[in-house]
Amino acid sequence: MEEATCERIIKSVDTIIRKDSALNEFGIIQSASEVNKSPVIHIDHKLGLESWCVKYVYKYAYTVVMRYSSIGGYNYSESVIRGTQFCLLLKPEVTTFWNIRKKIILKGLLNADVDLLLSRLVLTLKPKCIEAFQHRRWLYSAVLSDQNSGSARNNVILNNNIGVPGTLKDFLWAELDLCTWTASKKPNNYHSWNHRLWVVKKLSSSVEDTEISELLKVEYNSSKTWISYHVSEHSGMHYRFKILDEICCAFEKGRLNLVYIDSNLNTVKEIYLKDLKLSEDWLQSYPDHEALFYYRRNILAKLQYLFSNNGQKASPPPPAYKRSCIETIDSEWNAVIQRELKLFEEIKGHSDHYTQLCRQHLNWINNNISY
Amino acid sequence: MGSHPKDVEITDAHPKTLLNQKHAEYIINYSKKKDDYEYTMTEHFRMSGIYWGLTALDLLGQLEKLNKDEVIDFVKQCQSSNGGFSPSIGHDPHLLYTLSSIQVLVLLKAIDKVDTEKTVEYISKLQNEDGSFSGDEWGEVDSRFSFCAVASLTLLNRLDTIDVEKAVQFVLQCQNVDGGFGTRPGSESHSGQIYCCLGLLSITKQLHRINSDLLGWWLCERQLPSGGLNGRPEKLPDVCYSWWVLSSLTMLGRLHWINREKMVKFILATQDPESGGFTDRPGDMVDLYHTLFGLAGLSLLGEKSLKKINPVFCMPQYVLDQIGVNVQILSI
Repeated sequence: MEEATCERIIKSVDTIIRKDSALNEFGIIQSASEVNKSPVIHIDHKLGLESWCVKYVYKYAYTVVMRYSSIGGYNYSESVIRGTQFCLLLKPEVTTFWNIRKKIILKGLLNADVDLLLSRLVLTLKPKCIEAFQHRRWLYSAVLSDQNSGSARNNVILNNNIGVPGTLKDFLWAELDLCTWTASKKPNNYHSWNHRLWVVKKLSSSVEDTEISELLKVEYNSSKTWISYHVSEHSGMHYRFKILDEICCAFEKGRLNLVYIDSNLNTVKEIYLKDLKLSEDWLQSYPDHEALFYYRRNILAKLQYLFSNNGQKASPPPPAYKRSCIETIDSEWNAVIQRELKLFEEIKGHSDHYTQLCRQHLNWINNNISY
Repeated sequence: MGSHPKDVEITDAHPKTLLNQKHAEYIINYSKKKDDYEYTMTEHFRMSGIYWGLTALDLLGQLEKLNKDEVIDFVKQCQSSNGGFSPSIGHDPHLLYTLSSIQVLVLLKAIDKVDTEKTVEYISKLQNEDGSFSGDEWGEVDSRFSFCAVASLTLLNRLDTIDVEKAVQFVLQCQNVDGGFGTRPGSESHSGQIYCCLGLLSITKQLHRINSDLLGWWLCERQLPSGGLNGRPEKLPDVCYSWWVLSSLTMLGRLHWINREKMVKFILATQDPESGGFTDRPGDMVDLYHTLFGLAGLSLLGEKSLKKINPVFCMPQYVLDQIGVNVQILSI
């Protein structure tokens, strides 16, 4: 393919990205062979590239960018910006190309908005892409929230997700929606849930007490709904477990009222006792899911810690609690354990797999829980 | 054990013996194949690819079949002026490729061919106030990078240049209630991260600070009826986890907690008898990454035709013996 054709395709992609800030999807359209029309498709805010051109144009764009790299120092020409953009859409794992764009953004020659859109498009094709999540975290920390980064910051209008300008807080709230989307596209999407935890941390440290209550209530409810539809995804359950920890922390710091989260909650223990019951309901409906057993273990370990540290603070949670010795047998804790030992007589699972999971669970209790 | 909803089936059609020569040929041919497009598409992790290939070849006893000078020359060209190493010429340096480069140079006894003082400086400057490490100048933090830093400095015999106790503290904060470790404090447990965190604790002789029984159980529950290991609950088995999980169990002195015979059968079934090399699961496409971790797993399990592997550095044990590096292995 001629260089001029490659250049035309790269420019065409760039023009669409610059003009349509409401683009919401990028994809490769499988096509058998070269046809006499542009391989760039733009319909209904979706950007597509026909597969026949990928190999040639990628190689061309890659070579253009690397040529700048080899002569040392980039002069940040438009062709480097367009070239890295094109390559990253197809191969977002090339960290060096994200780095080139970071340098250009810091020089004020590229609007951070463009990269919020680019990394978002990348995630529509590759929802697990760690480099895209990293770049978004960097954009937030180094550009969006940095009062000193001058022009780069001033130019950002934060139309990150829905094409509507907003504040830093709006960015973070919208980032939660992006995480919901990426998590729904790839099961057990580690990087998506990790990114969501990062967003929650950033939001909780930057908002008022009323807003943190709102945030944790939304996450408390939405994670419950998520798990009930994704009972084999441990990542979502781990996230909920961390949200419970966040609720405890905020409560102990006097930043939120537990009844705001749930009208039946009065103490930290009740948060976890309620989820122990919830986990039982899930196991009743879906007995074959290992992830649900793991969630239950985490709740039990946390409760054991809370019962053995009566009156002590629940946070920060220590890592991997060592087997604690509960010296005075608390009647409430005793009830939890008695229930646990009888639970699997009540839950009727029929598969060999379920029998194996129950055996593992009881083994874990014997090894880690005092009773 | 009965049928499992998220497992694979191993049949009589899958290989049952180790195809040593096929794997050596696969690696040697891979290094010669420089098809334009494929070469471009894999350039961003080339240095790790070289490490995977060379280590696998050495385990197979055929390291001399590759052109060492060519490799050394390439690694030298990938050293950046700040001392760090990049995955390929023209790319940016990162701790991930700095470790791979050092591993390659140590394996080829050529560490004196680069400016290691600058590398030591590069690595130590990436340590943050809380003891964690950023992967590069852009600041992303991950417990993998902590391992890369500590492993690299140990191979260079310069662990004294960082705050080791703080590095250990950070890794301990990445531990979860289930005993596993994640990328950052609060992140979900993941077998790959567990290997990195345990590796750091093993190098720094701090393994006694964790609950080994709890973690050991979590790790051995990764084994599925097919014998394969997954990296997290309810995920499919993958041969790379035969490395991350087996090496972790080895460090904890609990390798016998998994079923060895079934594990070997699973790894052998991921070989491609025609092209050579290993895949993630039986029947998929082979690559260098799974080829190294398949062989390394078998070596840990005592396969006699392979050289012995070190569970922490994922390098042949004799290499570490030569430079006097030792690690902590728990016993029960």
